[in-house]
Amino acid sequence: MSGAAARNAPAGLLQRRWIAWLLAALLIVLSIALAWQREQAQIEDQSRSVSVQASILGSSAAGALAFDDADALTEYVNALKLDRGILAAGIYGDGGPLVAGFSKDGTPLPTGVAVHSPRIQGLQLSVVAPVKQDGLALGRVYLRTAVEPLTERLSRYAAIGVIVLMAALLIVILGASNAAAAEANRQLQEEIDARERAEAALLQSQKMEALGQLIGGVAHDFNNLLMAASSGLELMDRAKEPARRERLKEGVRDALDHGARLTQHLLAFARRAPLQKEVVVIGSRIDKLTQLLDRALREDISVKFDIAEDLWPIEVDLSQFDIALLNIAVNSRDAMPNGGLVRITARNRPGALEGQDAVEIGIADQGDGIGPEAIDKAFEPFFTTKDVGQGTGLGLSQVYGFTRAAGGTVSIAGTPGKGTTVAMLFPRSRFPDAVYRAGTRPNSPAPVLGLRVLLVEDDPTLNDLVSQMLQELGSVVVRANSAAAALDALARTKIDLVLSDMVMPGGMDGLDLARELRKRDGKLPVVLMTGYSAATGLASEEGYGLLRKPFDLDTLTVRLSEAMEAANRG
Amino acid sequence: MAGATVSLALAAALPLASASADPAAPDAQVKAGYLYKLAAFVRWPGPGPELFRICVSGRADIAAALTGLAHDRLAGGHRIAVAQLDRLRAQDAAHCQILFLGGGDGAAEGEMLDAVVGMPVLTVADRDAGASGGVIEFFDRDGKLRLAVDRAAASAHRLELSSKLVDAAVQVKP
Ligand SMILES: Nc1ncnc2c1ncn2[C@@H]1O[C@H](COP(=O)(O)OP(=O)(O)OP(=O)(O)O)[C@@H](O)[C@H]1O
Ligand SMILES: [Mg+2]
Repeated sequence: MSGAAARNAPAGLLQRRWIAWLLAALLIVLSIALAWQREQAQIEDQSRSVSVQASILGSSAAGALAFDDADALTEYVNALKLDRGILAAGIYGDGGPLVAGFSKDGTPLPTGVAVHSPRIQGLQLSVVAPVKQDGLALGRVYLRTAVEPLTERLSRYAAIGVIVLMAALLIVILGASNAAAAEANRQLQEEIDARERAEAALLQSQKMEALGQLIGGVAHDFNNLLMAASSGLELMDRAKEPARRERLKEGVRDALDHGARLTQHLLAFARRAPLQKEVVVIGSRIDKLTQLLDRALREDISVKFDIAEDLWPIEVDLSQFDIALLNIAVNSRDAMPNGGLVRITARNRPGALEGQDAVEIGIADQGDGIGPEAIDKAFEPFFTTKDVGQGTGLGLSQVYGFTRAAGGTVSIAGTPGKGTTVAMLFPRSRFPDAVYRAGTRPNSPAPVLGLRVLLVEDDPTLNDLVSQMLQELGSVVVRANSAAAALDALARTKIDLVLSDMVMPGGMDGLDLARELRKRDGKLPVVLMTGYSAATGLASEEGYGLLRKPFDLDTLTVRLSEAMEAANRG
Repeated sequence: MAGATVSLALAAALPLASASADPAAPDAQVKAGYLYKLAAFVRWPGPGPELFRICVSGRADIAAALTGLAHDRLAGGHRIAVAQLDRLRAQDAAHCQILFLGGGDGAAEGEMLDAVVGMPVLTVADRDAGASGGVIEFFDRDGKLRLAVDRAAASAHRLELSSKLVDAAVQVKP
């Protein structure tokens, strides 16, 4: 398209130049035509006046000619000498002889003349008129006048000619400058086009890069799930107890469920997920949301809820709502590398959505803030200011799509250095009676819920599996794949409980880690997982909680609760 | 052709002897030409006759020259007939449009003038030949034939003279 425009431009240019020249030429031709016409009219005028002069002379000379009064005739003729324009005049008798006349320019008068209408010869106009009285031919009158010389006529037209030429010149110059401007315009347009193409190409490559990351991430997640599922199946093969087999089966199902959820989230990105709207009062979901955010945010980031009483119900797809909140909160986390507070508010906003009642949910942080340019583009898919591998630019895009699908709006505001606020507005539901008060899992034992658990497991499949189980219980999981990594995490993060594998490669195994931790902080509960009995005795002797692999969710819950209680008792 | 026939018919009535006896005087051509041209400078009352008659008294040579001039020509849209008058036919003068008095027979010409009093007849008298009493009179000056005009006489004959004729005249009697 821009190529076609570029191809068209020179043609338009030519055309414009051509028109300017044409106009100029037209003007000149027109003025020449007018001048010529005037010239013709002038000559006609002169011819007529010469004819009239001749017939006046003829008529006044008639008497003298008839009765042979040569003196009178000479007088008549000589009267014409005073007229500067008349070069020669003659009166001829009926038979043809010249009776009287004169010639100023030396050209002798013709000896005999035949009657003729005015005619031009060179720069002279001559006429021969009959002299008649009452139908009786008495003789002829001859007159010769000078046509105005060309130079004189030209000088008369010179002033007009100069003006016409100037006008023509002006047209041409205007046309040329117009063309030049068009040319400059075209070049500018070309530059803009080129820049736009470059930008589009860049955007495209960014999109591809982001897409690659997304796919990579999804593939990785799926891989973990598949590994968890296959290892579960493997364990099921070895397990003999039906109850254990059942529990392993559940673990596999969980993994598959998680995969399904992942797919749903992907579909949500692609805006193809079937919406499952529920009528909900957000205030009732604080616990669930706390859990969700704790898991996703770092420990140096605290979340504070500020939910108004008597909040109106709204209609949203809850899983999408969770993802949206998560996406916003994760952005806040990323904007606060040194930690800070994320404040989540919810309040009624009467008439805020095009006159309709709405509920506003705001997420404010104390992070780096956001500039006007990023504000303009923040909701665009694939817009990110983060480093490659850090962000895909799809987070706020999901938020945007979700709020629109819910009939609401979303906006982002902020000042660089002063934090950012994202505000979602949802229309108030028309079905207050159908409110579904979404809560947390009712059967989760209280001590485990919201617990910050440091999971130390070298086997990534198991690490994933156990991590999933912990999350199912409502714990916040901090994962490490070695004792050293665990100590690292402990230095950075507040941990309520350590759940570690017993046998691990490297200098330090699970028991070593437990001993080290007891040395540092005697109160931190530690539960050790082991698949093999030899080491179990030592561990229990030293008073560590023990979890035999494989284990199910219930066993896990019980062991963790015991360890917490023991630690609390002191 | 018709004019020629008439003039021949009229000529037959003329006394041929006097016409052929006098040799043509040198002024005859000029005077005949003047007489012929005069018609164009005078307007006669009424629709005018079918034949335009120019009557000549006393000068057969002028009558002959006129006949030659008027041959196949018109005057005021009418055919021209030339007639010579003498005493016997003095009464006929009333039928002429132009009456030229050549000054030959004074008594006869007096009768002719009497016959045309108040009639629309342009009387032309050759002054040098002793004739007089015409609306227009011919006379010689410096070898050229000149005109004298009597405007009162013209009115008496109910004739209108062209101003050009008056301009061309050397003497004008109001
Ligand atoms: N709380 C915030 N503080 C500062 N900037 C923000 C905040 N939220 C979003 N932004 C800006 O908006 C951009 C787009 O955010 P979005 O969540 O869509 O993508 P992302 O966070 O970069 O990547 P992704 O969420 O896909 O991992 C961010 O890169 C960032 O520049
Ligand atoms: Mg994001």
